[in-house]
Amino acid sequence: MPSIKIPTPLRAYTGGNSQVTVSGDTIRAVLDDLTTQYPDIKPHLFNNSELRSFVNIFVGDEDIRFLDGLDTALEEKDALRIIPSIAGGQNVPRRIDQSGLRVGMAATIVLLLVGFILNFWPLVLFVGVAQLLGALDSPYAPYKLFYQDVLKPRGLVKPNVIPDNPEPHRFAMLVGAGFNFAATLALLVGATVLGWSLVWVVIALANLNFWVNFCVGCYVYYQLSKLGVPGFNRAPLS
Amino acid sequence: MLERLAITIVLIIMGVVAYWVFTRWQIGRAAAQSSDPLLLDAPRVPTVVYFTTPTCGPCQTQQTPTLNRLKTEMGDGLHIIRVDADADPETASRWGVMTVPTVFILNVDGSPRKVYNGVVSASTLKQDLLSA
Repeated sequence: MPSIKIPTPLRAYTGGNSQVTVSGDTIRAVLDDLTTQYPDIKPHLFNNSELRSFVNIFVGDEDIRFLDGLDTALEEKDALRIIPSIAGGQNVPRRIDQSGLRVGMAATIVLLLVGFILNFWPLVLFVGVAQLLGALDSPYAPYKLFYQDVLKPRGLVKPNVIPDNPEPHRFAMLVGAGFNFAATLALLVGATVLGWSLVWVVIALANLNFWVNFCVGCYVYYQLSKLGVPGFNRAPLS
Repeated sequence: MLERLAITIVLIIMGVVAYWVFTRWQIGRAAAQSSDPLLLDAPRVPTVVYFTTPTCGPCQTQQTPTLNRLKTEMGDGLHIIRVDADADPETASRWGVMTVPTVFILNVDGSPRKVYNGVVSASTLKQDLLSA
């Protein structure tokens, strides 16, 4: 049966055991078995049903993020390791799933275009709310739910996890949300040219990010970080 | 609604045309670099001029591995020139580079054939290189 090596900080939740034998033929199954054997470890590994971002799972030398994630198949003799990201320091890089971000960009573009064509301001408000929830990394963020619960399980979109800081992307979403909320307000008070112009700015910037990988919001974030503006702590990866 | 649909189509076409004009401008800038020191020692094979930076995530995780794989496949039939746009902003500016990754495909005579802004797949690059 597969085994999981438990890092020192988590051994308090596995009765002091540094290695636990588990049953299951996928990462998800063995982690389910682990949390069934030791329920106290579950909140330290998972946020709802998602692995916490600082929890890294390796099968041999391979990070599961570069395999099939939680659906990675296992063999009887596989040895897993749980490696928490090292805490401390403002510039510990993390990973993001670029496919999830691109689903959000595509959804933003399509919904805002449809909203404009139908002259339907609630879609603009919805996109603003979706972007705000994404910026806050809420588990109820609509784009995230759509990607994780609809597209990914059906194999319609494959994960593409790369080393990157999530904060600049969240800042970009926050700016997008701001533009969309301002647009909604403008449309509600009858300033339709202003309102839809703001929407088209978001559409243009989302297209720039989607097709050319240039995130204007990320660029602004890193410039503010260079200037030492409080709250903008992440430097670009090097 | 039809009016708005028409406006949408016009704006999308304008966006596509603007991007096409921009890439034509970039090709023009690249064509003016035939005596660029970058190209002095280039052999007479298809050449990729690849602008990147150390802090560009998609460059390090997608574009660079793609180019490395292509080089392994094509061997001496492909020459890759890599430019760090952070370390050499003047060269990036001369070539009209606005974002990274930016990849120029040069013909065997050094004339620019195509430019890609953003990550470009191995299959697309290979197709371009084999006809360069």
